[in-house]
Amino acid sequence: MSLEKDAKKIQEKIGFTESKKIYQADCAQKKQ
Amino acid sequence: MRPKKAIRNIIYTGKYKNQEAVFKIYDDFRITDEPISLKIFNKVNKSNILKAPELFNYKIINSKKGWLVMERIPEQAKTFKTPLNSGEQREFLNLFLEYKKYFPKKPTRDLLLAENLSSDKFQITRLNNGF
Repeated sequence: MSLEKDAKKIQEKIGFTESKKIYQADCAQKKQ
Repeated sequence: MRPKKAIRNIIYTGKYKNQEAVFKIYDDFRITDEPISLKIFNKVNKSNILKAPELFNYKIINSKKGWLVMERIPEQAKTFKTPLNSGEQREFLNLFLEYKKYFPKKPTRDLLLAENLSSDKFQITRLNNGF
């Protein structure tokens, strides 16, 4: 499951009402 | 190594128990203890001028994955924007000293093997391993 889907599921479970996504950090590739 | 498009974390604003809040979910390739660090810092911090957001709720799934809900910093909260003038530089340094004053002097949890290294060796290991 994607992190975004996990987030929605947890928010619903704990009663967090989302208004806006403000940040997303993508994984940087490790240089070889 | 993780796939190219893996997401490390996502942050949302919203409301939690009728309070303005921030929800952060993370799944990092590095070990992180953000919720615990925030919780412990708030416990030991007695400063009246330097505050960290209050931790409302959290769950650590494993050493690299979890989520937290914390207080949302008000829009009017003061932030520094570079370049700083001399007065702002002095203010920043005072806040930094305040931070150092209340930051725990000794580890508040069991350290990982790598964290037991001397600071120079730790940084070399960190750079070599990408954590």
